[in-house]
Amino acid sequence: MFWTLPRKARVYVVAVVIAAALLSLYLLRFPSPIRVPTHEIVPLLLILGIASLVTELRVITTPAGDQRTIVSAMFIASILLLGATLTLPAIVVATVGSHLILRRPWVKAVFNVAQYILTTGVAGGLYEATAIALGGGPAPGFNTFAGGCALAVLALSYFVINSGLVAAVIALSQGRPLLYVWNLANLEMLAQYAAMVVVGIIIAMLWETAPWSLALVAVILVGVYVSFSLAESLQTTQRDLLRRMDELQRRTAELSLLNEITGALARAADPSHLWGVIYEQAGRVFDTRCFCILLRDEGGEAFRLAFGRLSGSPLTAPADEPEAPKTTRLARVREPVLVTGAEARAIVEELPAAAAPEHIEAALAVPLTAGDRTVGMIVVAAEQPEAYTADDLRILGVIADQAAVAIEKARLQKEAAETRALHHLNILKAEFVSTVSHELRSPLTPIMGFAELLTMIDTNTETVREMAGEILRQAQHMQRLVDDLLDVSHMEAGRLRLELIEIDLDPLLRRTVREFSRQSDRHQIIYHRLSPLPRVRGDAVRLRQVLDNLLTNAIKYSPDGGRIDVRAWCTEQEIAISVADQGIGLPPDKIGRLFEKFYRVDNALAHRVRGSGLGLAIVKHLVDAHGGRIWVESEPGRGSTFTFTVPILPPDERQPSLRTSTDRAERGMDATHPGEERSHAEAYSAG
Amino acid sequence: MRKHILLVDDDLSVQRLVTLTLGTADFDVVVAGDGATALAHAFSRTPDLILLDVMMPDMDGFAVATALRSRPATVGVPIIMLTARGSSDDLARSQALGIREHFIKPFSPLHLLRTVYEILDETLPPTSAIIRRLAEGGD
Repeated sequence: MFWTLPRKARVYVVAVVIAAALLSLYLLRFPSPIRVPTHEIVPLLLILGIASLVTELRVITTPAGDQRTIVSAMFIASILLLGATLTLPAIVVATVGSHLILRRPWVKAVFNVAQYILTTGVAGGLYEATAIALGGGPAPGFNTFAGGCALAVLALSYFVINSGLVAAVIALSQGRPLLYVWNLANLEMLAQYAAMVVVGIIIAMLWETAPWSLALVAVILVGVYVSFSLAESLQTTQRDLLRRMDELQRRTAELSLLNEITGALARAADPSHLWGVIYEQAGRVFDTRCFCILLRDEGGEAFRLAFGRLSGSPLTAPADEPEAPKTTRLARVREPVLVTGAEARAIVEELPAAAAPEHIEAALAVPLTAGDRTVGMIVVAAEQPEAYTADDLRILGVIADQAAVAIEKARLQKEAAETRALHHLNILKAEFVSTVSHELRSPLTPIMGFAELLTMIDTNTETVREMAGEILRQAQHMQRLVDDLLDVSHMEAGRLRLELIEIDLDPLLRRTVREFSRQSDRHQIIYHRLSPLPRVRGDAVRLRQVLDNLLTNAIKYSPDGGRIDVRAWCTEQEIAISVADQGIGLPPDKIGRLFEKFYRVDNALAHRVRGSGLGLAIVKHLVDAHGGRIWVESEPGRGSTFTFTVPILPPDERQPSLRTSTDRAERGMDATHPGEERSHAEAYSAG
Repeated sequence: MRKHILLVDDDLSVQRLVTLTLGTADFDVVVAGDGATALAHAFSRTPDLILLDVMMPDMDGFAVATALRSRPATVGVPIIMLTARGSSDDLARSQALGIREHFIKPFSPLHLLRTVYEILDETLPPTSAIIRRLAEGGD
């Protein structure tokens, strides 16, 4: 403690101690006169020592926050009765005793001893000098003129020296002017000393006239002690109550504010209206001259300005930076934070606003959290470092929570509306596709029918046959498109259902390959059964559709002819079927999108080959619906291999005979079958 | 005795296609352009087979079929539905009405011819004969 004091203060303390030591030596050498008889000295010393210690221990905190004791009254009484010299033991007992009991810093105790010795010595000396000078002797009567004047001098000098010495050490350690420090305590101290002198005189007079009445003094002291204690505890209780009342009032105000905010946010149906509400409500609690609400786009990391006010005028997003460039500090804000100084400026600089406020010293940043995702941020900033408190942060946190709930609600409402609209649109689309395909089918019936009959009629005109053949081919193509569109429409509407029964794939594969072999002279289509094929649960018509699609593609995309190998084998849990061609193959980067709707590989040949781009999407959907998988291996110029799988029936599910299924597959797709709309593609494509 | 077939379809092209196809055989084909005419024909002379379009104005194929099934004379007549539709609902209704076959448009006329022979329990002539009849104009 001593070494933490400024050098001047240290020198002063040392000087006071040395002066006190010298004065003590002087006092011991020339003791002051004693008013009481010799036999009374010891009990009086004892009483004054104990009284000094008790009063020094009883520290009172004044409303101004200063700490006071009434020990000076004991010392003054001691000076009047025993003289300055015999007051020294009382001083030592009071200061050292209180130092030991209250564990005060030793430097304070030493200084207190020293300043009390100086005060007592000097004031006592002045008292005697005045009394002698006015002819009252060294110990004049209290009711004489000399006694009265000497008392006044004692009180005044005691006050000046005591308070002056203390004020000086405070002034020196705090680096403030002496008069300033002294002034602070002046009036109060003056009153205190006046009281002390009175108490001192009363004690001295009592001793002189009736020593037994000092017992009364002891009772009074105890009474004072107790009442001080009571007063202080009452004061503490009162302060505590006031603090709690304050807190309660603040909380009540906060609650009503939050209630209003919640209500306002709940009423704000439109999120853009919400920002204004938040701004208004927050402005009632703290400085919102710089106020920003930032939002993150779904899936994005960067914040964009959703709402901004700078001194009441709208803040705008920067025109030249569509994406907020650097939001590293903001992005790190996961919890509400109150930041000051450089950190506050760092946050404000990252605001995606065209104009940033200057001289920022404090900021609040509170994330808007929906679920576990930060969807946005509220940032307020101010020029004063103490503009925001922890309470402001808490309130903004609650506002942000409410806002996040409102944002989430708005998002869900929008999403629900979009989903409804989308669903409606999907139904309309499915209906449209359905109608169009029906409308297309009707004219196709005579076109294809007559063309079929024409191709059969044995005329000598080759041209007629050729023309009829072309009509038939084009109509078949149209029909496939219509079928594919309808399938996709059903797929999207979730209405494409399979009629799953136990089937034998081997005859289906054999028949399909045989029929396709007849279609193309340039392709050699070969079926390889690599292992026995157990029965599977599937829709024979749909599996045939998968095969047709893969074989049609294999033929289409190997324009120069070549081998097409259809392989079937059985693994532990599934049957795998692959269709491998030696055609143009696929670039690796296109394979990933191959099974998307309307996707067609972008190259010269693909442009010549006609197709809706729906076939593989339908194939994948059908394979998926069977619980199988489909994939492709391909290399440009070397051909492609499409492989799909169908899960095998567990042995206990197999049934001995199911005529209809294989029957239906054998007959192709012309059979009537409940569940799905199919045309008689077979009848045309086989011929 | 020649088998008597009733064709019900409002589309003239389809009428012509079917009559031409069936004309290659020894069938007596009567054509009706709407449901009411069809029922009048059927009730006056019970056909051996009815080819019935579903989508027709005023009275659709299902209504005609239901009316046919309500009379003892026509309750057992085999019906082939010719339709551009093929939803599960339609197929379920067909099943309930005891309809033998569904031909979803566009269909192969030759396949229809084969099915008609099959249902009427007649022997299908060799293809060459059919082609010859076809070239001659179907009669």
